[in-house]
Amino acid sequence: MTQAECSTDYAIEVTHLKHQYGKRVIYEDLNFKVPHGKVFALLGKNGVGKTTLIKILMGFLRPTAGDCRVFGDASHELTPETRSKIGLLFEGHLAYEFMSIEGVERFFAPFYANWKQELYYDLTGKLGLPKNHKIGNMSEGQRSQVVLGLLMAQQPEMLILDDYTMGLDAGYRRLFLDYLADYLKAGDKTVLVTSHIVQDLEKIVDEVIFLERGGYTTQMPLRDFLEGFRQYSLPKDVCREVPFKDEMIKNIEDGGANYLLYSFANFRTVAAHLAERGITPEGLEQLPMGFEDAFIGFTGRY
Amino acid sequence: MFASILHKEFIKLRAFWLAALALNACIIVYVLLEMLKLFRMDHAEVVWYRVIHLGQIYYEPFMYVMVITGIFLAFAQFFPEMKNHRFRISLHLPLAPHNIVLGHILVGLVAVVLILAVDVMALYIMTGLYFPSEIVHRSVFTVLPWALAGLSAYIGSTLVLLEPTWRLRIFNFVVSLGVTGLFLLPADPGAYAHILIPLFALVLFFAPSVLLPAYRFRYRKF
Amino acid sequence: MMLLARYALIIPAIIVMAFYAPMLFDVAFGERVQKTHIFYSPVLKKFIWLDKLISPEEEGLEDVHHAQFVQMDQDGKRYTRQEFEKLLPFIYYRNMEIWGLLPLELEGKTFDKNTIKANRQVIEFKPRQIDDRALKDEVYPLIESVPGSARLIFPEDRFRLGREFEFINADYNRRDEKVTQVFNDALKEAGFQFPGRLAAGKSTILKPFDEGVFLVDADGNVFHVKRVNGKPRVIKTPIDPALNVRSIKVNENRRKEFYGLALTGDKRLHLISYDNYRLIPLPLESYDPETMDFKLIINPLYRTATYSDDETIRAVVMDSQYRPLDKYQHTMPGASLTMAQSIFNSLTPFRLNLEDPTQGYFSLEIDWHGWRSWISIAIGLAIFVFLAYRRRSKGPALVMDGILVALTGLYGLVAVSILPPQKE
Repeated sequence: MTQAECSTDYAIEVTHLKHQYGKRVIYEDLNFKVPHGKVFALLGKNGVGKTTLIKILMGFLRPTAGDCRVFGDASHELTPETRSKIGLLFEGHLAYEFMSIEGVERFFAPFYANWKQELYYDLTGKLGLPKNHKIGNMSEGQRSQVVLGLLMAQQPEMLILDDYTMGLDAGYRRLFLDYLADYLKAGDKTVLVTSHIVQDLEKIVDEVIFLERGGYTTQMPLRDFLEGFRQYSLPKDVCREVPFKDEMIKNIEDGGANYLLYSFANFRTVAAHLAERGITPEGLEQLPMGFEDAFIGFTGRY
Repeated sequence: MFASILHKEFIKLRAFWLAALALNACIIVYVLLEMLKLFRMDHAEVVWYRVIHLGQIYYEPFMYVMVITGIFLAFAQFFPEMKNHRFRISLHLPLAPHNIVLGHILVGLVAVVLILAVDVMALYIMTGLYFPSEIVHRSVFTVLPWALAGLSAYIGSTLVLLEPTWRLRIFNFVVSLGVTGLFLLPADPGAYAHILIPLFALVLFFAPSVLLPAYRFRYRKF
Repeated sequence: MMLLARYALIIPAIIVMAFYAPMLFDVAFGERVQKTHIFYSPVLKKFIWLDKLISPEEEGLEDVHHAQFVQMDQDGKRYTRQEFEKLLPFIYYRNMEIWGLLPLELEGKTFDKNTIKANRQVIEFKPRQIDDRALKDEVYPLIESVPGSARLIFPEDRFRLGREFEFINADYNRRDEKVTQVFNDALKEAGFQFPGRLAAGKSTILKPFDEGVFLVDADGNVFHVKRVNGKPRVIKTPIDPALNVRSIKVNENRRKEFYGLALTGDKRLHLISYDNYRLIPLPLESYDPETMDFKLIINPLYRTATYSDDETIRAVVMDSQYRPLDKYQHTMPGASLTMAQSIFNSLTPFRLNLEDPTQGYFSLEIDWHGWRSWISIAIGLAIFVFLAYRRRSKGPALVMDGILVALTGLYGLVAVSILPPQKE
């Protein structure tokens, strides 16, 4: 398969990716593909390897084994041309602190053919800061606007956002998402976003990949997850065996007077499953939940 | 695009460059005062005897400040890039990585060279006020190896800062220390005059070595 | 690009190793090569010397050597330090005095402290003092020969010799027109042809009196210039310009036998006699001024010239007319390698030197370790090939690395092994 063919299929292809820091396995056999024009969320608790994956995709880290391709290029040898198509938001909103609001725009503009200066000033203008204000003197939220402004002005084919929510208050988060939604309107943009906070993502994400410790991954369309993943409560006062996790019960949390059980199975299946294990499903009840509850239910609280 | 890299580094370094320049200016004034003191304490012909025949070097502080300038500017330029691995922003730019790195090094080297040139010019002028031209030349030939040490200290510090692994960081440190030390051997004034060109060539040849740790930083493997 | 970057670090690393490794080795194991001090004993009529041995000697000889210093004569007889000094009464005359051995009688003559002192002179001449190998002062003082005080004093000016005999005043750091004019005229009048080739004097006031400077003109004629009561006194010496005087070392001494040494184009050393500048050639067989340290020791009875390179020291003893009486040749202990040195020289093919003891300027020199260089290169190449085979390395870097190891032995092997080619 030539690169050209490859790049037409998927924006990102990860096959049999294995990575470990010393003996600590981050991924054992990670596989996923991000088609063009989709929004992917890479979700997981802190420390499961979200940033590591971004580093590998952008060539800043070499995986132990496996193959990663971004627009058809092997990730450790992205051509400048490919890099120009990718807007990359580094964890912590890394920026050149020594530059001013206008200086940093002037610096990045010549590198990108479709640079849209007005988008940048549109966003940074909201900060109400003078144009010669130094980035180093900004709060993280203010800095995120500058970084987002640069990404928007770049108009990349693919956006990679590493933990964009870190250090942002709700207002900035919402603003960020509004612009992201605008950017996505054209329909041909691909986004890969990592986060440990999910509540804002619901509206824009097409597909989620859950990363868990030890390299376990689950990938599915967000819709399937939201519709299929359920929360059940099981009162503690009824005398019975303590429920435990298994292939059907994804997770169990302590809900005060109740056990909270999480599963992709429907009510009847779960009840039967419990009974089979010698746990009376007496008082089992399905509770409604939002994306964030589902996310926490899926990954576990701690 | 390459010009943008140069401009960015210029913005980053200018405050530090001015600080380094101020430090060097202080040393220039100090050396000038030292020289004037020599002539105040003794008859001019006795000072000449000391400096010309006995090889007294009253401008030795230049040796230290030149090396410090190289190290300081390398740290000013690359230490913040290593914090949170900020250098990744530059390396993600759509430009070949060696152009990005060489652009950085070029600005740093020019910044160091400009300051060292100020030192050498200052020494040239002040020595010329009180000593015959032969001694002016000899003084310049005495500080030029120190200036090369300043450049090599800059390159060496960059090698150490950019290298991601400790093992090679130590190796880079030892090699840089060794190369820099070649220019700082105890020597009679002007003794380096005949080998300055090959030593300068060595420094020039040494400069692109910073690409190695930069590549290792860019495509690192743990 | 990466290939270049890698060698941009490897080659400096090799240079650093080749320069510092031998230096560190010397600090750890090497004895500083000490030259033999050889003398002619007027008592024994034999050459005797003081050596620092590289390795300690067998037992039983502790009383005749101390800290590996041995004193012996050309027949192999050992002496204690005191015996040794008594054999050289003109050198150790102060100790002789303390021991109550002065005045002493030798060859039917009596010598007291003052006769010894008045008839002693030592003059040395090293390769790095040759005019064309030296770091020269370039501007010299022409000291007033009749200072009118007990001590010599520096003039307020110094001169440079080039297209003219130019004086620069130290107080103003400007050419002194008047003095320049007067001295130039005097030189021209004496027939000096500019530009001058060489100027030599002893640029210090720490000497008993002043004999001015010797200048060599464009034609090779030697002139003697003094400043007498502020006025020039120029003498065109009868020294044959065809001798092509290359270097002069002035050495004022109360004995007033000679002004100093002159090295001529044929690599021979002469004394410039007070007797109308007659050159007295010194009978030095196999003397090479560019590699050998020379020393002339004069005492009331004999003149001993010694000259040595790193391995061999030669001595010739002469009468007062500089006719050779006897000579001796001795291989110095530093010439042979210690065990540690042989091992080190087999592990490293060469050492890089910046300092050259035989000249004033630094130079880049590669000192190969003779046939032992091949050992280092062979070991380096063997390990290199073995590693390359095991790692199944290939590519252009492998060939270049191999060439580097073949040229620099283990230095190269260490450098290319620490920095293996990057796998892309």
